[in-house]
Amino acid sequence: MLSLAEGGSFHPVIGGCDCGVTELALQVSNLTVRYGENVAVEGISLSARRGEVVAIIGPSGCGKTTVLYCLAGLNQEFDGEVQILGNPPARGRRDLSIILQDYGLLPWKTAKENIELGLRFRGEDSSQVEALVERLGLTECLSRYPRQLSGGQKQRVAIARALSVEPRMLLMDEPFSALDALTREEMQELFSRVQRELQLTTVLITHSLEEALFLGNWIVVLSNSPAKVLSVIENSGVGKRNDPEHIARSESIRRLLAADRNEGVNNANV
Amino acid sequence: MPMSKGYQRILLPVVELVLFWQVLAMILKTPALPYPHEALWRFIHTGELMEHTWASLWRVLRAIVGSAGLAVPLGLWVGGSKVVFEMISPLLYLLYPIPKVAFLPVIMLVLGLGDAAKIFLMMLVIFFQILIAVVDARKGIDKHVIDSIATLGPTRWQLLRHVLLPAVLPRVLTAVRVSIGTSLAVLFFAETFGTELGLGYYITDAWMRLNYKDMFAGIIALSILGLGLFQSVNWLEAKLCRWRSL
Repeated sequence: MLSLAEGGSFHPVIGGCDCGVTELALQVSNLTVRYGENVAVEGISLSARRGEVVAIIGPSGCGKTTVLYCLAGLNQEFDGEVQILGNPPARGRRDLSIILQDYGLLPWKTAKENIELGLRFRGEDSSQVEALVERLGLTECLSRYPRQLSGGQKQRVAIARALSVEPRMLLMDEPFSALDALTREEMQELFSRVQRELQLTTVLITHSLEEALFLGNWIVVLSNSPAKVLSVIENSGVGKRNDPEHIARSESIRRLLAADRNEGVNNANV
Repeated sequence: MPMSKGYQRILLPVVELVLFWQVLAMILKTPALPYPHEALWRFIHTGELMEHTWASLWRVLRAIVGSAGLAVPLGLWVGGSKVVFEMISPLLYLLYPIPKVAFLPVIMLVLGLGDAAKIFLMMLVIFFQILIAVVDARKGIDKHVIDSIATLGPTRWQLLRHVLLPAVLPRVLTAVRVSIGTSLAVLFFAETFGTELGLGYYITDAWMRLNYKDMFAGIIALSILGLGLFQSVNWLEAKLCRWRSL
């Protein structure tokens, strides 16, 4: 992860070692998105090595999703440079999958048809998803339609669909936010296990500090709109819950976000 | 004996309707309203009625399929692009409420007295109903769904086949169902001109001959035609949109 210094310049120091830029799975430099006069995202730079999870956290409506859309190739109108696995973002890339907040499942297709969609679009054999389906515990619900599935099952179907094309990078926009607390933890653990097994580089947008600390090797804190990087934190407590270090980290992130919010209020008052 | 729900839905209202008709005929006592059994008898024993029914059905079917074939792609195009929508939709909403039947003379002058003019008139009516429904349905498709499917790399055709068409299909069928009544009314009107085949002609002809039993036999045939079309759309919806009724 390239930490971002004040002013937005790069320090190509990754986890304490000097690594060549080519080894980065994700590299975003100075990403800026404007909608007319409005600046939605301002000068964001971040990067990740293969198999790392970058959790992006920030106030709702700050432009987190816009960042993800740029990485996914769904928003092509941005300034700055984005390299994903050495290539610029584009729709329909084989090596990249995305899971959006409401899962984007097609209600008129069964769980099985939804899962196989990516492979079908590419005209590939869909029998290879069987192992994935089994691993995600979906064998029982393959013939059901999305509206017959529970929140957790829908989430698993979305994960299965994203993973069916064997991507090397996964982009997720608040994928667990619609789940109840117990299911959420269960899904976070399931995802964490699969992500580590497959060495999937992941960008996770979330508004939950707890989730960011559990899943993210790196936590990128964004300011209120326009989205700017407030801080990049390396998280040594990844995969743990209620880690003592988490408490200190979440305190400092909360302070950061609160300070940013107050600044916004003060600016508005001026 | 317990009746199945389907039977109850069809049979019960038919019995009620016939009863109401019977009572009304008894009260009015006019040749213009024959008793149900008289009309039914004529309906069953008039061989030529079949021919007229087929002619009408064939016209309606061509009009519905033709309208849907044009309105669905156009609706997807208009509803799918903000620029196109803003340019074209004011025109659509202006044209939609205009009573198209009034154009029959013009249409007949241009297309002649044959089937083409009758089908075109019905299409004018059905087309706008389906078009408006498709435009609204296309606009209503959740952008997130399209976005997340787009990242799976579909071709334009795949996006159409797997996402856009299934998404608008329920609304198309509802629009077709609604327009069946209107299109039969338009058909009835159109068939009174330039043809000697079709239920519109049959009913008006019987009326002119003051043969009210024949006239009601024709009305029964037209009603069964409408009911049959309506049920066919219901059946199609149950088949094609199974996911909605779960």
